[in-house]
Amino acid sequence: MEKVKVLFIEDEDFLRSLFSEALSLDTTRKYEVLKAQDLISGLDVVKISEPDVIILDLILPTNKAAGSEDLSEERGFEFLKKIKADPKLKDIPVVVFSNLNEPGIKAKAMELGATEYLVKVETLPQKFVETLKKIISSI
Amino acid sequence: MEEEKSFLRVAKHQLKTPLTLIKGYLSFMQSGDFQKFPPEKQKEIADKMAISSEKLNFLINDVFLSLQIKEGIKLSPESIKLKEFIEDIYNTALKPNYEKKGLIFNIQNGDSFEINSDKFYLTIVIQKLLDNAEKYSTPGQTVDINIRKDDKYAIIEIKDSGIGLTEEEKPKIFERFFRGAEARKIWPSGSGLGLNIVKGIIETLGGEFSVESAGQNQGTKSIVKLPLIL
Repeated sequence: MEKVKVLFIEDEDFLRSLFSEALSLDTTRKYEVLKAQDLISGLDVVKISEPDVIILDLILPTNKAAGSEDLSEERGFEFLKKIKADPKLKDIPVVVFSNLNEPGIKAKAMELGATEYLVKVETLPQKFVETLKKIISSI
Repeated sequence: MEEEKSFLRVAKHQLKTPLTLIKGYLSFMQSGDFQKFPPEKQKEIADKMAISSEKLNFLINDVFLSLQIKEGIKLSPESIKLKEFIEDIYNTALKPNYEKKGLIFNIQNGDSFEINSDKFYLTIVIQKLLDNAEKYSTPGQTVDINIRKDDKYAIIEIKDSGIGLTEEEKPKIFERFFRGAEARKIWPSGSGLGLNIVKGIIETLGGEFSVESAGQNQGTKSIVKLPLIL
């Protein structure tokens, strides 16, 4: 069975572990979990590893090592725009995975080309896996 | 107003992070999936849930305290013997953690200093700074507290030999919710509001607060200046 490459762009290690562990419980598919803690390394991993799906947190540091933190969703949107504007990367489904649940933000993410918008606190691991499986089977 | 709105928005977001984790792992337990993990993984998950619960507690307390300080706090000045006061806080709240880590608490000078200030809020300040010094120190190191005074201020310096601050971190340490990369690793439960709260209280008490560090792994010195009379 070919592994599905899932890239988590998420700076909270504990959250990434939780949802990676949920994927490891899925007996119908095998997953290779890739990780990036900030947007700069996120873009590098996308280009080098060409994941099948990207899980994108919206509030992320630009560069984790520099300790810089921007608590706004704008950088996450910029990242989404970059992916969707790149002919080589634009077809990779991006699931925006954030605890921001304002309708305007969800609408903007979808407008920019996100495949799905999930609110972390409302998404139990089982639902996360189901959503991902649906997206993967439609690729 | 805009600043408070943005603070509340971010606070709401920050509070949901540990909650997401607790809810997620609880759902593993409810569905029976938890039993599918090996024992060492189960222990790791239980530890993560404990850290997240602690983080949630710190966040709730600090978010409310931060809002309270912004709104304005009512002060009740009274006479405080500084050295005795700091020793009492150490003995009551911090000593077990310092001893567990083998840290040496070394307080010097200030035997005769008395200031007029608010005990309740000053306790929060000292507790948070001693707590930071403990969390960011390596086992066996010394935390030095030095008390002195000039014409206007009593000056308390709390110096540790811990992780210190990088040049990039220095200008950001008073920003609400900012946490350095190394600090996050060492103490994942921290709220990112502590130093902002400390600064806010000290300024309300008519004092000044600054933090110095020679760089990463070079330790940190917190300098609290308090007026002799509030």
